[in-house]
Amino acid sequence: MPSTKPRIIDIGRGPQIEGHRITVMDVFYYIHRGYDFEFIHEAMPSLTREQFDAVVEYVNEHRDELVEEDRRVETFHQRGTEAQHARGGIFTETEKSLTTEERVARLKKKLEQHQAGKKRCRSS
Amino acid sequence: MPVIVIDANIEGQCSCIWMRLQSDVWREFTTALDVTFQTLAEAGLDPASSDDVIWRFCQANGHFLLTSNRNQEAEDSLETTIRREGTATSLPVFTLPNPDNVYQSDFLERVVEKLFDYVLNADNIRGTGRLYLP
Repeated sequence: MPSTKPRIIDIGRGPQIEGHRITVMDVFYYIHRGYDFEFIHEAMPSLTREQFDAVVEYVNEHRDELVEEDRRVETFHQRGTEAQHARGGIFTETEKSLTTEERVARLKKKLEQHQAGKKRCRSS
Repeated sequence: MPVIVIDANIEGQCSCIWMRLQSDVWREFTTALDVTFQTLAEAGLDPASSDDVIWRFCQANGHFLLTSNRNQEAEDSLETTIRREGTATSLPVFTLPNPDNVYQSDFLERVVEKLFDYVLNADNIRGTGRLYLP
């Protein structure tokens, strides 16, 4: 009888679950930060327990290289985020200190401007 | 109608974001901007599709992609596809680099606000490749 155990394959995106888009790095992000299967399954509901176990097995055999890759990805995203924020305007980081009411009021102004702009375009 | 296609690695977080978009606080904007979320399957994609196939599909259909994608250098990775095929008019890929933070309410509010901000400025964010949230 053929085995139905999920396999980890690499078809050009790094190691991933066969027949699925989710990669080892997607799952390792959570494993590396101490999250359990229940949490990860909530984030990725299509990930089965068997697929998760296959990733864990792969992680146990390649932990050092995955830790290094995770560090490189973090650095990549950190640099990308900083470069984006440095562009200013819409690309800046959303303020942390605002209340929801302040956010809504601010966005409402932008929406009104957006709708007025569209109206002007239609009438000209 | 702005469609945001949800990557398989972030469906749970996107359920949270979508619930927030539908809340009394934010529904007005969701309705006014006619924002819709679609999973890969709902968008008509095979959930096992490669990054380049999904990116091209989103570009061809005028959809945004929302992901927490963590592959950067492989030949068919999203990052390589953006660099190789992105143009000045390509729609950006929205990226949540630390998706676990979405479960914190303050962070979620910032994500929602930024997402609306991007949609409102859809024509000004073309050609930016990848845009981080929040």
